[in-house]
Amino acid sequence: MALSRRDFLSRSAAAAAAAPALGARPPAGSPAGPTDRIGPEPAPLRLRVNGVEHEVEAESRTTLLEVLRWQLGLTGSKEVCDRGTCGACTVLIDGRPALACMTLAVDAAGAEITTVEGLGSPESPGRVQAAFIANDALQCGFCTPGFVVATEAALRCNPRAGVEELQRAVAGNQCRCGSLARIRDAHRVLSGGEPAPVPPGNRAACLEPDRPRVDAPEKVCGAARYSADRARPGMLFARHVLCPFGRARLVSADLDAARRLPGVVEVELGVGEWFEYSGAPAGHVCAESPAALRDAIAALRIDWEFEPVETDWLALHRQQHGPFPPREEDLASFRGADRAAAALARAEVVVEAVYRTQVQVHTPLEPHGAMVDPTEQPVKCWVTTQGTFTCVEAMQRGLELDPEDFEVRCDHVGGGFGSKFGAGREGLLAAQLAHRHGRPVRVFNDRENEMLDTGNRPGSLQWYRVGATREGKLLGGFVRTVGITGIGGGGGVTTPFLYDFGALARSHDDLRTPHGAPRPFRAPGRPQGVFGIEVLMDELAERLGLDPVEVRRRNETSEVRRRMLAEGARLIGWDRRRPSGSQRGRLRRGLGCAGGDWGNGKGRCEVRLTAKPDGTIHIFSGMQDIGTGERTVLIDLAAAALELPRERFVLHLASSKYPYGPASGGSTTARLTAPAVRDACAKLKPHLPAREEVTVEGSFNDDYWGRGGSEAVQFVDLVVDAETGVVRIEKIVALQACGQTVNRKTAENQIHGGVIQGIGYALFEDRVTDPQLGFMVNAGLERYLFPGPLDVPEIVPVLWAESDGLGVRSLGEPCTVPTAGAIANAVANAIGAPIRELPITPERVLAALEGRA
Amino acid sequence: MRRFSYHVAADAVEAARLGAEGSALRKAGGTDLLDRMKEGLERPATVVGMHRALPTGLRREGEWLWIGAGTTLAELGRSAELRRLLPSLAESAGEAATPAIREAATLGGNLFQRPRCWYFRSRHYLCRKKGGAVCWAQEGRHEHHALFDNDHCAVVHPANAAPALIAAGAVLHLVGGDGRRRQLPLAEAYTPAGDDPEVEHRLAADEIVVEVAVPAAALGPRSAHVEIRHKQSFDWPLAMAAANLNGRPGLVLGAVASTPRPVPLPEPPPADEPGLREWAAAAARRAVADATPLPGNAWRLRPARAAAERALLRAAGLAVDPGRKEER
Repeated sequence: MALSRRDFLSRSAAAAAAAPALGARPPAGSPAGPTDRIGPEPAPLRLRVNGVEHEVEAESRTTLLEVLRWQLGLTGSKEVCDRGTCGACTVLIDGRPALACMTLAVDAAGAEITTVEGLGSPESPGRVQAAFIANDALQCGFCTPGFVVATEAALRCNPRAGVEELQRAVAGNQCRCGSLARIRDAHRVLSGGEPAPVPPGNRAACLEPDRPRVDAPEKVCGAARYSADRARPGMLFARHVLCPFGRARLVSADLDAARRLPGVVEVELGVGEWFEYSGAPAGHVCAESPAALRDAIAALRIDWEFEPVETDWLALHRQQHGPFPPREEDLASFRGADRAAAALARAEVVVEAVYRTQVQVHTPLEPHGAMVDPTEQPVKCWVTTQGTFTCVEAMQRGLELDPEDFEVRCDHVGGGFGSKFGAGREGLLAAQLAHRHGRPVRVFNDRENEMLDTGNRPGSLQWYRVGATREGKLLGGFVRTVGITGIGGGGGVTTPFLYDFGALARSHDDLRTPHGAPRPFRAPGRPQGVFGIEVLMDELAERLGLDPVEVRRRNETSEVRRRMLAEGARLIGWDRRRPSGSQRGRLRRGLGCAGGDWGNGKGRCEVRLTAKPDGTIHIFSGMQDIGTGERTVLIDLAAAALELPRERFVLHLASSKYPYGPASGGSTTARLTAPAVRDACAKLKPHLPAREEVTVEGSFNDDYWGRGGSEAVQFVDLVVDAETGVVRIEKIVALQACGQTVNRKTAENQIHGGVIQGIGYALFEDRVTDPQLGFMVNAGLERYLFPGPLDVPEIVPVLWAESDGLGVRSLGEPCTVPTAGAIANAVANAIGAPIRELPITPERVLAALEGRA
Repeated sequence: MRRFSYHVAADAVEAARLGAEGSALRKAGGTDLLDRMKEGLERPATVVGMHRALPTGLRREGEWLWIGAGTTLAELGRSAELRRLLPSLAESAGEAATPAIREAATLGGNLFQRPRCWYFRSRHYLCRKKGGAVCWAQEGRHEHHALFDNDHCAVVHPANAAPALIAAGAVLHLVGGDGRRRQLPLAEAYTPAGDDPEVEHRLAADEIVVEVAVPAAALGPRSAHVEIRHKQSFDWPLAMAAANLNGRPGLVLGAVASTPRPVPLPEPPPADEPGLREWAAAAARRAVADATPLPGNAWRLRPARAAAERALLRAAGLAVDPGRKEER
């Protein structure tokens, strides 16, 4: 056969390899033409983006994403993993989806590039964007542009794509908030179907039953600017260098080589020092561009001398606290040991078990960081944070300025989940460098730094020995809990909880490991505690041959949850539940349930309203919206209180110059905002309509507090493949009290998010650490798994409102508390063996099946 | 990524030749290469772009189905012709990685991507595959590592498309930098990590694959590819298997050893359904019988066995569970 390239071609080919539209456009060069040699020096490059020709400058190694974000200011394409594993930078190249981070800019020359900005604008959104807005298919919005573009690509490929095809088209897009069920709703509509029906009663429970979140248009169109998107002329780029190993000495580094490189501004490194955990900051590098920053870090050629570390929890427990589980002689030291021993002596049945939960990493898609701009007055500090006001102290320290001389801003935040209180070491470094160099400085983690040391949900070991009557009434016993807290503390496990355990004697310690410290993570302490408690309840029910729901009802501490148990059992079809272990086939169905709760403390919150003669009412609040919907809550609360349409309100949010609002943690924002807004509205109402500008201040006010709690119960229906150990969840019913719901769509979306993160905690998420050197070997989005579009079941969020006079109550946290326990119990029901460790991997399912046999 | 000069090769011979010069590396879709370069594992002074050099698309000629090495996985997944002729390849390509990666990744790149071992892929670990003295997976975390052939280096072969092609008896057509041509059965193209972990295949430094040819005897509806995944959206499989029952029966496991692992099928498949089910179950048991798992990954033998059995059943046109609707 003659070697002629044309022989091989079945159609016109030769599109850029990374530009995937093979055959869709004419050859980029003559097949017989000379070899193109490009770079390495920067050279002018023409790119056609969103229908406009741009001349940019790129090296051969420059990615399309870098050009879009830093040269063209098209920041709708997000940098999340920079390795092609998240889909957040998805663009269209000649109509096909492409990952901008894995596409060389030079390979995209000559192609038609379309970014999310090219699909529509907030004023005139495209079809996919409109469907995402209407179905509230977003929370923080950081992944949203990628989902929008990938969906658009699928529709261009097949205008009649069904919902399954659209879902498969976004299978490579990662969403951390858990809006995936809403994205499926949007896909249903785009494929000509109807969105999932609203659970009965949800509409009536809400102040705003139908309208979507107010910031959806700017988020779905890529117009929302996150702190990571902020750029200014002359901006410097900096990043920390972390010790990857559990214990290591930085023997040597070529500081001179790094400093000599063009564009390198500052290199600081602890040469000769020992570092005591994986993720410990060893120094930082600052440079004129992202490429110069990476070159400088590579040029350091750091040589680490490492020592083996112990990472086994039981071995560490022996070293630090003695044997686990405790020996008989240890029990006397438990708080309340005498009464507990007496209760066990009375018990007709005793259940004893060890439960174990993993370390879960927050993994917000917008990594931790800040851009601090000292060339503005006051100095602008764009931080990605869950608390505008929690950053003031670090900025004050780093900038050496008084708070009146700078402003903390965070217009949009790409997720936090508890890890973004304060400005972090990243924000502090940005402030210090900005102060030192007098230039804007951007410090944002790369994905590995983000995974190693920006907080986590501590792991836990839990040992229970609990006695009960033959009827399943708990009498008491012993519980020993251990929090796996890295170099930090705060590993508390919430137990006892939900049920009246009688005389329970407790002991708790934190366990040091050579890893980063925990930070609060959505309902700190509770998912791990509830996993232990709820699996224990099912083990007790199993021992006694009682129905698990009935055992719960007999021990419940909440009348609300008792009623939720009955309603949830009805909604999931609990009467279909078969005795545990009674199935023999390959696919085995399991049903399970679990409860949850969260507190509702009062606290400080202020808000300012200004009514203008043009009829607009301006709301000022320093609070932030991290994707929970706080913007929407503020406007819908004021609209309801003043009985005015949304369109009359203008919101000014997320600045330390505005009235004080709480951080987004502990599910505080909506419940503290509501009394403050109602207070302000009551003061403003007599002045309306305003003939001249009127300003009033409102603050948290007991008069508007109302009644209500945040009880939760969830039921799960799933199928286990007994040959592979793979779990497939089909349906989750989430009953959730949150007092007076403000906006239905954002509230239901919060529940979806709590459930989906709970699925991740139950099945997938795990910080996998090398037992030799302590490094987190899955420190990226390829191997740190959380649910994707194809892993999300039907979710039925039931807004539970029993009485009148309800105040706004906690929502974000209680809805993630029951999920893992309920899933574990459903798996146990399917396979006939308890699941005592998270995550529920195929390995653990198969081991449980084998142990039973 | 270190700076590099980018040479876009005009044809296959040039791509083969330039890619053998100095520290040069070849790039097709780039989804694997750029990842390794970003991690700092590769620092080529020259990258050779092959996107103008590689043939794309499918054609029937003589007794073969010819597939251009530059064909993207997305094209393979979308091709109605391939679904008809070699469904196992269409399925494996159409489910690999993510939709956007499939649009860029080529068949040639899929077959010769480098393994995904998390120690190999981290710049912090110097392992045998990178010229070091240690396989960190042996004493480390190795749940995703090899069940066979793992005492020296425990990587698994990641290529989704390889089992289907080997089960079909596919042959690589190679071109050398001096214009020479050679054929190499895909089954013989890979070298086990036990020989030399730094070498993964038998292609010469100046050779590239330009086409993959599948014999007509292996074409037809009776082939299937099955992946068992923990997570359904974007996850590497716990195990995969491809079966081809069109001509000479073939079964190949993937993601269980440093090379795709053909499984001998001593007897031909029986014609009746009960017999066929028994035959498939026995073949699947045999497929993992001589495994040498590491302490932390023996549990993957069960999913590997399931993948093998299901691939055989589906290739035979049977549902995985008797009486249950096929979930293809």
